[in-house]
Amino acid sequence: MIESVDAPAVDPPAVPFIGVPAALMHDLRTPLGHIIGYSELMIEQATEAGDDKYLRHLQKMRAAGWLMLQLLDDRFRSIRPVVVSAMVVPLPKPALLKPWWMNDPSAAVSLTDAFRRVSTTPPDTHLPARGEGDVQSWEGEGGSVD
Amino acid sequence: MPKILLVEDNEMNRDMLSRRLERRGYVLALACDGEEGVGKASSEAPDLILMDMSLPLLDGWEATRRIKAVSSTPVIALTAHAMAGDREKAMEAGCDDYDTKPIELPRLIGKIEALLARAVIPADKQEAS
Repeated sequence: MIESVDAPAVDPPAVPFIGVPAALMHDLRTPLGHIIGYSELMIEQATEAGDDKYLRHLQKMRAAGWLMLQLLDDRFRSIRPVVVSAMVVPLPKPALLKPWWMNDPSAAVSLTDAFRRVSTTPPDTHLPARGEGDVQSWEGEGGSVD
Repeated sequence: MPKILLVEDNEMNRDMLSRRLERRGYVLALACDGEEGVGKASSEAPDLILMDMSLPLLDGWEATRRIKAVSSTPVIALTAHAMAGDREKAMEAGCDDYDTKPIELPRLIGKIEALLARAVIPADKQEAS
């Protein structure tokens, strides 16, 4: 018989966070780029072929890919590590890392709006409006994994 | 049409981006690592180079430095990140522009066309296109 024993409350080990978001960001963005890129390629081909049967599904795939990228960018910005005099301020404990929309009803509304926006945008439109602004938003973070 | 050398080690990125650019009429040459990229920058004589930065054997920064030491072919750096340091590092290596992955194709094509317009394309290539 296995006794149920409450695990002692142990703080997670202190680990340096510099570079972790950058590497993780790369690992997630690369396959996401494949999904977005191939869905856009297939949209182009389906549009040329006049194949409306799959076009709407492909547009949804593409929209979901861009939305996921937007969510990743937003999330990684918010957990960017802060370095003060060579001291790393760690992330909150895992138990505190709830999805942000659980504590912020307006975030859920903005997510719904975002998905509606990308779902109804023509295939040739840039989604979302990213680019130069992203570069500045990551300014100061360590790591340069590509 | 202008010839673009795509230096990219990720097979899916290479396949997807080259096919999308070829559909728009560009002629593509491909390289899988930095060393091959440096070699093809000479042997293929591209009008422009799209350079991934994280490459095996020779990374994109060093490959760009070697290419720029002997050629003025425009180079656009491609990285999977959007951090300030990436852009500066790419520019210091000699890149002419910078873009992030996932690629927004119309934006990338805008940068390609802007650099091609600045560069002098040999008359024989213009006639052939």
